[in-house]
Amino acid sequence: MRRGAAALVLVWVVATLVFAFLRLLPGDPVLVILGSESGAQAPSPEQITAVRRALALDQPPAQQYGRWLVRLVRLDLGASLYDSTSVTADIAQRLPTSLELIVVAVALAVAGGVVLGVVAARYRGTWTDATLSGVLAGGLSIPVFVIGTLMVLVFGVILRWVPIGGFVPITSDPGAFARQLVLPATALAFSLLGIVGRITRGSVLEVLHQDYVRTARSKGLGEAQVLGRHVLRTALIPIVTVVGVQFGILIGGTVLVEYIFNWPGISTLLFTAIQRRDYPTVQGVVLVTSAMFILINLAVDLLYAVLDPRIRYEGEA
Amino acid sequence: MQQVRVLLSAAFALLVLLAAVIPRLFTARDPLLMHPDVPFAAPGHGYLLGTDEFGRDLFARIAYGARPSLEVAAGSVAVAGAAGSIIGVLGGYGSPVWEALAMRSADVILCFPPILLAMMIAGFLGAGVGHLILIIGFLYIPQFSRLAFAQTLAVRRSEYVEAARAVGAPTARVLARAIFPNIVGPLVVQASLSAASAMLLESGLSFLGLGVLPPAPSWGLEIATARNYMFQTPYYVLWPSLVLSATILSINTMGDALLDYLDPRRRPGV
Repeated sequence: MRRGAAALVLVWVVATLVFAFLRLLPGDPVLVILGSESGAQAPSPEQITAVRRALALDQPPAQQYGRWLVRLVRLDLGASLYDSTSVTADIAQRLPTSLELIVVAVALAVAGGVVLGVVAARYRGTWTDATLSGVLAGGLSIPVFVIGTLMVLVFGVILRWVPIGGFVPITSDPGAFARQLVLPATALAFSLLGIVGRITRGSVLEVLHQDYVRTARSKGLGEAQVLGRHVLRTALIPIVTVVGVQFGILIGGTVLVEYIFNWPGISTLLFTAIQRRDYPTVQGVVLVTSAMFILINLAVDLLYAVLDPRIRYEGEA
Repeated sequence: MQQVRVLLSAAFALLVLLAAVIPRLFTARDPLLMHPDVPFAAPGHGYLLGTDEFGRDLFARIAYGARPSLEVAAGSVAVAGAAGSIIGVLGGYGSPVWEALAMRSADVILCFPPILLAMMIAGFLGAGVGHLILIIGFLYIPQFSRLAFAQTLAVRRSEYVEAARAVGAPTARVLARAIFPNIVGPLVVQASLSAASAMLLESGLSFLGLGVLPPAPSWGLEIATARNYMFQTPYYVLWPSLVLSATILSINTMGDALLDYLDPRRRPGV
């Protein structure tokens, strides 16, 4: 309960900051939006009045803020400056496309990272461990856009195995959808794979010498059962944390991956909106992704309690 | 094995640092000089790594590209490290009001996925090295303030802090002489890891055209341009990709080694 309220307060603070951002920039926000400060030709007075009216900047600030909050509660994020469409509708249309990419990437990263991490820990100090740890360190260090670009180069340009960009809705052709999804999802998964793998390796190493693992072994359980049932279960907690904490980085990666592969998700929306200086859309996307981020962290906190009986939040004990 | 990796990383990072400070050591060529008669030259043939679409020497562009990346990484870590350490130490040592201010402000910054906030600020404020340093520096404050806060809490009740207070040292002196020297180790490790991630963020923003501005050579920007010519010449995109990844990898490797060194539990063989 208390944590939910705290998350709500954070969402409100974020909304306020996003609202305040334009007004805190030096100079006239309308001119900032129209980009006249970057040197292009001066905007006409009509343009200035139109933008000022569209953003309600002609009203007193307190009233602007009040209206912004009221509309926000009704999930109304305003209208795009570019084509006057509803920002909420734009985001609602793009968000699922991004989520498809993110969900598949997280699944790939967690599955791959846990397997690689467990194997590396099991064969600690051998060449297998060294090789796998090298791969994981690479995942952490190679920028996601480098991976994406190199994948396009190898699989799209040189080998011509898969299409190098674009999107087909899953409802119209699942096979084509999957082919389009392979490269971007793998690219996005790679950096998270590095993090998950390292955390898994570390926490498995810590658990591997605990008494209860020795007990399980001495009971005569097979190696797979010991690792799967006793070791991994405990090692899962830090993995869940890390996936939650890294969600911000994942969103960041999504921006670059969507850009490279021309994936029509929420980040592509943000990117074009920034180029068009379409402030309401930028504001909406930043707000929605930040709110998602906050909610995911809340979900991770609650998930702990499920995974680890030792953790109980106040009021439940 | 581990030592070899760390040594190689240190050697490579040193090369990159040298290139950032004195790029002339590596090449006599001007990274901006165009040779319209030799666009997309293959590696070799007088151009070690080939040339780009304007016939500019790719090796020179890579060497000169080190500077903006390192400037942004070092600058933003300096900003974040200084601001974050001060906020964290004050939060850990000061009254509960300070603590709440320090910790809640970190929570708020952490709500925003870094690249989104950076894109938004860079998009409306304008790109460029100076802005990038301020933006990334601001975004990375929590990494340092949270760490400094936790470390300060851990040492504030220690005997040497009590002793410093008992002899009547003013608060500023207690903070600077008794607390800070004892928490600086972990902060330095954090700085190396943050530098690597700042470089990742900078290259990503430059890749999107929201970071370092052309015609200055920057690795992220170089990759973005080279992407358009992948069909003509695959090398063009390969070089900056390799150098950028290797640089971040070597900084991370050194940071990890430092972490292992400082934390005996993580030392290999224990």
